[in-house]
Amino acid sequence: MFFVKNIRIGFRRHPLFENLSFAELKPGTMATIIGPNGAGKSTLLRTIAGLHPMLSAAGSANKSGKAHPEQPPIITLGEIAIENLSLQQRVKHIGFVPQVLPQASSLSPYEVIFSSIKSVQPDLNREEADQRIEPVFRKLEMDSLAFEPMHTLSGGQRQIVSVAQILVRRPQLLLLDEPTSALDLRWQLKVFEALQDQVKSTGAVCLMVMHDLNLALRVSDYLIALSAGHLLAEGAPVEVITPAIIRQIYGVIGRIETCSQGRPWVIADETV
Amino acid sequence: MLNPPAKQIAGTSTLTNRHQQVVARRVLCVTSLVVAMLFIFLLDLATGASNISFSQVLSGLLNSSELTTPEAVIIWELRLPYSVTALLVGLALGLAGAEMQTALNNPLASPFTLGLSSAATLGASLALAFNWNDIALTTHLIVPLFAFAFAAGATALILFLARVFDARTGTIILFGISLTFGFNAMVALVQYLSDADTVQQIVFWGMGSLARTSWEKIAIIFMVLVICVPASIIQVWRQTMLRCGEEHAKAAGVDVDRLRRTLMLRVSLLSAIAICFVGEIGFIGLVGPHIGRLLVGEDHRFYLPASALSGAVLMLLASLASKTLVAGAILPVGMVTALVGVPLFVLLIFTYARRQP
Repeated sequence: MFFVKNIRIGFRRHPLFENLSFAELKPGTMATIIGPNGAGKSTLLRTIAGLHPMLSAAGSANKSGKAHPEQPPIITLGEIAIENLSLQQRVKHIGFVPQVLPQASSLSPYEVIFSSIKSVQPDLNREEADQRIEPVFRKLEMDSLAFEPMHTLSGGQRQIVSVAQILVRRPQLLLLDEPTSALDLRWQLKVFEALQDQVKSTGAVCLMVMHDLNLALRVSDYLIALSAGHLLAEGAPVEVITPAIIRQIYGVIGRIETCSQGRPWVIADETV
Repeated sequence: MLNPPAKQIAGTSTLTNRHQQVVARRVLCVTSLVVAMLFIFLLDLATGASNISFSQVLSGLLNSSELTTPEAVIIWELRLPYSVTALLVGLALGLAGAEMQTALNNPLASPFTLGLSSAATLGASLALAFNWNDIALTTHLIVPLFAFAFAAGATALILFLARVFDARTGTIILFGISLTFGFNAMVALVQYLSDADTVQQIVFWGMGSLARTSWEKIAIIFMVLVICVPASIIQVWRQTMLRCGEEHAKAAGVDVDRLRRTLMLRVSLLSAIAICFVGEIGFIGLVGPHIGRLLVGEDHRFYLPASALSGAVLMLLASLASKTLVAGAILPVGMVTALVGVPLFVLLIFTYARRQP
């Protein structure tokens, strides 16, 4: 369903990944990227979303017509070759939640979500848009805040609005950059439940960036561990998160313990 | 505001219904502004040194033959062009200010933040300092032309600098502020080198006056509005998304750089055309949008018309005040805008603050 192959990511003078590929993600997958600060996790998501330009193949950055033909970069979503689409075309298939919170404006959450869906699908009429927004607000318990200005909301509430935005748009690929960084325990779980429900029911793929390893273990079906410049490991969460990987990524000595209910739990002991 | 009544009847009132209520309230708000604008427009039309009654003005507009020749001249050649100019300039500056605040993501931005008005003043001062012999030609053609050319030049300079240095909004505002200082210094230089008559003319130009209008100029301002308004309507959702922040606008598919460029171009055109004909008129472009925001929020479907209409209302009130404050004299309108606008604005801020928790 979702492929990334041979992509070169970063900045022209400072490439972050030269030749990044990871295994195909199947419909309904909740995948999480982990990695140290500055590894390029956010840049990876922004590049797939179309907010950051993909670098052309190594060594031919200034001769775009003569890119090395042996390994063309591929980002495929279902039947669609994402790498060829403009930002405006990508947003019809991809929902991206940036790391920064939505600005504290005089807009209400309802207006934010309504104008977001109207920007992406201008031909959607008001009734259809309303019908899509209502259940998402119900699920995220946002009803009472729906028409309050954003500047009266807390950071966490604004973060929920930005997640709600892409749930309403129902994209095939959901990209979320630390979607629960401002949320309390209950809302972290609420947001992931909502994401899981939508991904399973629509057969979409969700790719997130997260720092909390325990949360990652709990909510993901698939884990991708990145380290400076390369893919360290990928696969089932319990297979990827090992003391060796934790030490390699974060420079931390840690253990994986199993709790009384059989869940794996990461315990960090000290820095190396 | 903290306890919306909908909470109590959450079972019966769906979000969709509440959304419809909110939209209906905003439509009503914009409609009231239109009515208020038309009312003040008629009031402005009926006010002046010569005693022509309100009903005479109304019937005279509908049927010119009912008026005596001097009355017809006063209404058709003086009052109507003044009022129409005030209305159009107010609309243009209000709209320009609203889009500027969105484009630069700064509530302190106004068309003049970018130094447009001081550039226009510099252009006008130079034109006046050259002392052309034909006074009519100077005041009606050369001065506006110079003012417009300089304002357009300032815009081009800022857009060029922003492009070359890939500037962020904060930097663009800094460019604008430094340009303002530069232009003001040059205006002072021109004044210093000119004779007393010219200095007086320059100072007077800086005050902004509706007396410089004519039907041809009105037609030009109207045409610019006709060109700019549909472009605003097309970008209405994108502008609303930009209020969530650059990254979120991009995530909704908005080409932020392009949106910002077209906004700045449009804002510059609107404000340059408005100020080149009437002179410097401050405050409207700054406060119109704030009144619009207080009344209808920032959904640009309502925010843009409300800001433009608030600008027109303020401008017409200023025109009205300019005729009534000093008996028998018409004050320069640019001088009066702030006099009228400040109390109104303060009143609005306080009413709004009281509604806040």
